Amino acid sequence: MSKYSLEKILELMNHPSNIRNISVIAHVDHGKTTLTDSMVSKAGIISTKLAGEKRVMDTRKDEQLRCITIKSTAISLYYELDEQSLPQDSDGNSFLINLIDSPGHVDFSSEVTAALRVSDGALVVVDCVSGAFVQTETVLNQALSERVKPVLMINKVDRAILELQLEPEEIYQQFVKVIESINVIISSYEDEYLGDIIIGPTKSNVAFGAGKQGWSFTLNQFAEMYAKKWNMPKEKILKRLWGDNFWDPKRKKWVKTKKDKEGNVLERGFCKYVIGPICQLFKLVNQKEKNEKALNKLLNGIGVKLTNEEREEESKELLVTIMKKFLPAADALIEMIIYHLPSPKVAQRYRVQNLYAGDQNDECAQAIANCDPDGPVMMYVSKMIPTKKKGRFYAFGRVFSGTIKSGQKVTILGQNYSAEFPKKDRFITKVQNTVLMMGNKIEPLIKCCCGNMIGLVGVDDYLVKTGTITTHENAYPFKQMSFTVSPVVRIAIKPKKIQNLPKLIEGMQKLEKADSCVKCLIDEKSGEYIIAGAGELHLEICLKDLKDDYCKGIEIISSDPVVSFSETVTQESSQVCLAKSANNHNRLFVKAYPLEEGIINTIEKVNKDQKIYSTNNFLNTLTTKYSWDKKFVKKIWAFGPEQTGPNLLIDTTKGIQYLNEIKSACSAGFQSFTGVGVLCNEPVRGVKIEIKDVKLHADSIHRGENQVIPMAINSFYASELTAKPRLMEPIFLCEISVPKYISGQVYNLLNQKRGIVLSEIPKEGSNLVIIKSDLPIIESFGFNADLRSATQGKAFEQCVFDHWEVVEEDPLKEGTRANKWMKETRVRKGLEPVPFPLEHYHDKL
Amino acid sequence: MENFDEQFSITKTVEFIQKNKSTRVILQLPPKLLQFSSKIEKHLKKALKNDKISFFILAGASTRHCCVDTVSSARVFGDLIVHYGHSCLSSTAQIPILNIFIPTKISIQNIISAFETEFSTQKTKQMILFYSTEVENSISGLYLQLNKTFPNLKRTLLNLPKNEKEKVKKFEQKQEQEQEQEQEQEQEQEQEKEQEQEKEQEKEKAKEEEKEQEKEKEKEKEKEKEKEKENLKIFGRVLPITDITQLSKNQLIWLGSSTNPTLFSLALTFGAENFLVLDPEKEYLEFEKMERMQPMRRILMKRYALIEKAKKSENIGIVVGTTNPKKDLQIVKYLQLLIKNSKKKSQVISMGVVKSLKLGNFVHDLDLFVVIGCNESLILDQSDYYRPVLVPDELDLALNHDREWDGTINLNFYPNHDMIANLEKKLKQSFDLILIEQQNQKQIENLIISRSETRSFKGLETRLGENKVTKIEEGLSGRASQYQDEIDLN
Repeated sequence: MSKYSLEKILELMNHPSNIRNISVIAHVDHGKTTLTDSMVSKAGIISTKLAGEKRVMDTRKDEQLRCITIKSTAISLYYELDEQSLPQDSDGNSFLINLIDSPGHVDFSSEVTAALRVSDGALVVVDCVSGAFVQTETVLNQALSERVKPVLMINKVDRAILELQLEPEEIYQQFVKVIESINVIISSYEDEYLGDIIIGPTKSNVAFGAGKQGWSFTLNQFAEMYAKKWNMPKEKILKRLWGDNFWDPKRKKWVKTKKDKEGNVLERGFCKYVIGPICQLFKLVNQKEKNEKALNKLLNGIGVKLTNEEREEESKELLVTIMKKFLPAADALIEMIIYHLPSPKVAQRYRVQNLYAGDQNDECAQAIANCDPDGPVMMYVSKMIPTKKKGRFYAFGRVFSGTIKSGQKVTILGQNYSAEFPKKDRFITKVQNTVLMMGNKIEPLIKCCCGNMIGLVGVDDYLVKTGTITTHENAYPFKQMSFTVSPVVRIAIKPKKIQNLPKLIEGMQKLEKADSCVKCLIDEKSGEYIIAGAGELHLEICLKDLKDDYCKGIEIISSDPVVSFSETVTQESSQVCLAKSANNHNRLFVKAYPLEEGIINTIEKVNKDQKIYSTNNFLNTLTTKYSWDKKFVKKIWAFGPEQTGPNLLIDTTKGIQYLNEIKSACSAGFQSFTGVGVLCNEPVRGVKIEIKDVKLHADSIHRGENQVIPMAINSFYASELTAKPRLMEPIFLCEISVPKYISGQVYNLLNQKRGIVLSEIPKEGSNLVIIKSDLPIIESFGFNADLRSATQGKAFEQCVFDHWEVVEEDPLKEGTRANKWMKETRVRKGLEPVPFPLEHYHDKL
Repeated sequence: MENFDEQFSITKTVEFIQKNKSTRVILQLPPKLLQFSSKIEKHLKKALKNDKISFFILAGASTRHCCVDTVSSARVFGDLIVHYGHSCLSSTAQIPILNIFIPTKISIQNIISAFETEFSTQKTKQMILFYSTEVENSISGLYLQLNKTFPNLKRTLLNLPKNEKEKVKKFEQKQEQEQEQEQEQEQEQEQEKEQEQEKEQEKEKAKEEEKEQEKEKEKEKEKEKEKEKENLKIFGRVLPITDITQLSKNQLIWLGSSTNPTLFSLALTFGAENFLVLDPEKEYLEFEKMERMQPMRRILMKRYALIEKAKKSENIGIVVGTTNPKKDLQIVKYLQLLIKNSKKKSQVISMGVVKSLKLGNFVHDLDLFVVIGCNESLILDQSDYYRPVLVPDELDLALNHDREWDGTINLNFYPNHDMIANLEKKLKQSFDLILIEQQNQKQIENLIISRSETRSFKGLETRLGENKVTKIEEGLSGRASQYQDEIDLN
């Protein structure tokens, strides 16, 4: 065990080739935090005894209580390796691992996204019994799209041995399945820059172990052990320890077949030499009284020495003690991380294209690619971490190039900065302090060289959630992160005393800063103060944070969670809709059409990266894939809402005079219309509006914006009303794992909640089935509790927003469910329960 | 017929017209009452029996309906305005104005019993009674009776416009006498007033049948008003106290419709928690707490949302929405300084009545409007302005960092000289601020420029000599709402 020494960490921070920045990612409850404990203890921060119990990386009280990680936490760990076989590019035998432990629950996925952005490698943890889940896939996909290299840890092997009493061969099969399922995902990301990232035990980028018991191993370790024993080259043995390599004891030969010529079953190399002895050890320790001699012999063989005290321990504890001594978890993990994950120097060379928004040949891009400590400072702030001092934040992120110092003058490029408007959201300020994040503690730094993750003090006022910090005058910002979770569940809050409204808003702003997936909105039309989050649990945590922390001392009243709807149309407008301007001198003739799902998705996908209309690609897709008329594609006037949403305004007129003048006014009207639809002021989705004809007054004073905007909005509303308007409700993709024998209860419950079962897949090697279903979010409130009570707590569910679905019923027809929802939404927003009739918007000639 | 006369106070109006020797009378009615306009005119003509007097009915006002439209009346050279319906009583017009409130029927007995159940007879703190214009006709009688049981109840008066110069002259003598009285009985002033009212009420009752009745009433009010000279005047009300800070120590009571705009102005300004509301039009009379009423909370939440938005706005339009800009110069100056101090840009726009269409002309350049003028209807206005529209106090709350919100919005916001001087001082100091601040300022200026650059339409193109010479063509003909050659597309 190396001793924790800050000086050594600080020293190592200047050697990028000996740094590894990694995130631990996995499905919830697969043992990330527990596993991290072992690594923290190895670095000398907590005692070995406590590892596996303490959950050091869960720094919040509620995290410890619930045993669930909510916020990702960073820590820097210092290790020394043997001098003999160091990685090629390393500089000395000491290494610094900057590690981020991330939450596994889907509701907190945005934390994972933020963690991966600043990491070069990912330790993927999978429970060997339950296997890879949907969240495992999600986080792995995120990692790969960020060009973060994965290594795999197959966790909870003890469960397979003790709980399920699996035979070595069965355990092997289980491992193979897990590895295959991970490789399926990896192989879909062929990336020439990342190189070969397919994982396999013989490559030693897979580890097996049990975080709770504090042990893990890679095949490399066993191969080394046997190499010494048998005096054979390690590589040769390594190959035999995995795959279809069987030991034929009669012929003293390795063969490729399961049975020898006589038909005797042969033992697989992995089973005989790796997992078999471990199973054997488990058995012996469990009945240690009976097998004292055999146990002693085995312990001798593996070189584990026990003190007399330890010998007296209960078998359960004794097992942990032995395993921790035999195969300490941290050793295998550290080996895997240091040898198989890239250093910043290596990783930044290929990551820069995915990160930097500017030209790849400019000074900043070059500095990032080379991880140049003398280049301009380029730091990406991926999240804001609340400080102990109320209301202030550390800006946490990674320095990609240059050296940042306390007191240095830097330029901050916020989320809304773009090179087009170089004055917007750009600030110059001084960095008060640079600090190293060590779990729940911080260590002050004087300076920080590129390749490290640090926190900055004193820049939080200028950043909303993320941003770029640079010293280069003409630096472009880092690309924005794309989050997989969308905030679709919302609650409205208000203070009990109206005087506290300003404090509430302040609190909401802080909450928004601290959590990248929370949206705090103020609807000035209805006077609602809204917190939108990924799910019920997420909102519960947010509300708790608000009450206990950001708005301490204020009584807050919160509404029940509600979902946001969308509005859409399902067919072409039944008539050309006409609206006149207030002065009667101008007319607009429009029709609404539904947009194809594919186009909606394309718009949303492209928009995550950049503004759509500058990409000819999209326009080409429209003509080639959806056979749109080229003439019209060129005349797309606007996307909306917020200039980027999945709705289109197209001019299909010919030869109208002065038409250009009203383009911006029509676009403004379109933004307003798509932001608040006619049914219940919810955003519009998937609507194409075609302008059929326009009549304008010859005198420009009579066709100003004040005349055109209201006219445009009215005509759009009318066209929505005539095109079979429908509500859209958000749908969760819900994955439930449940023992087969009570899966019927789950089906019943899903039925009640309007859920649609997509698939039921049995988990091999267990009695569990995985039921995937679509579940309307509006029905999902309280689903968790219902599921628990229906299955006596044996079912486990994860829900993540998947898509919008059209509610078939007519919302304008009394008595339908859609009508009820529409009215509820309208009343909540302080509107009349029923929208205006068509005549209100549609003018007659 | 008699009922109609009573409802629209025909006799009172005739009286007023004759007294002012007016020949061009303007009748201003809100849209709701517009249907009665010709009937009113007929009745007035009949009663006046004077062909020389001509009537003008204002069908579309250039102000809000609660304000007196002097602009439109000046166009037809009107010399007297009769304003019907709810009024914000904020007029400063020079010509004679008569406010006719359409009375609602109230049951005095029920109101008194509602008072008794709410307050019992035990002495609580001082109470001040506000009432809507609709109950003006019956308030005196009601108050007389209430005051017997509740001596701690004081009333407010309507601050009606003083028009009849003659009247004022007559009262000058009486006033002197009264002033003497006042000096003698300074401490018992309030009681005195009430006694007087009692006496006057009795007189009033006795003379009920007399034609002079209305005139008397006016006189009484004038007299009282003179007496209340030192007292606070706000939202068309004369308050029975002199110090505004004392107001919140009283229990404030509103008698009238619970949706009356004046009630919201009062409650926003003085704090909703101080108000109890009694709506005489409801079936079951019961006091309600203003702060508990849903619309009130919603309004406050909405207004504060706008204040929050104002903090982020860059270009602010100061809209002068009154017809008497002289008085508002001070407030314009204050707002300009305030905006400049916050490193934002301002623009002053003068328009009579603030309408969505008019403001629409500026939406491209301005993020927010602050309106100086009749605030009463603005706060409750539901129409879409495309940009937040604030009252001066709200902007002050947003941009003045020294202020802390106490849950009220002062609709009677008026900056004094100290406030302006203070801002000027601050502005001077900020010139010496560090470089960064200046850069930010520059950024904003640049932003304004860049905004106008993004416009797709940059004015008419002058294409001199580029267009071919052609013959004159016949243009559109017919009404704008439907030209003759227009065919229905459907």
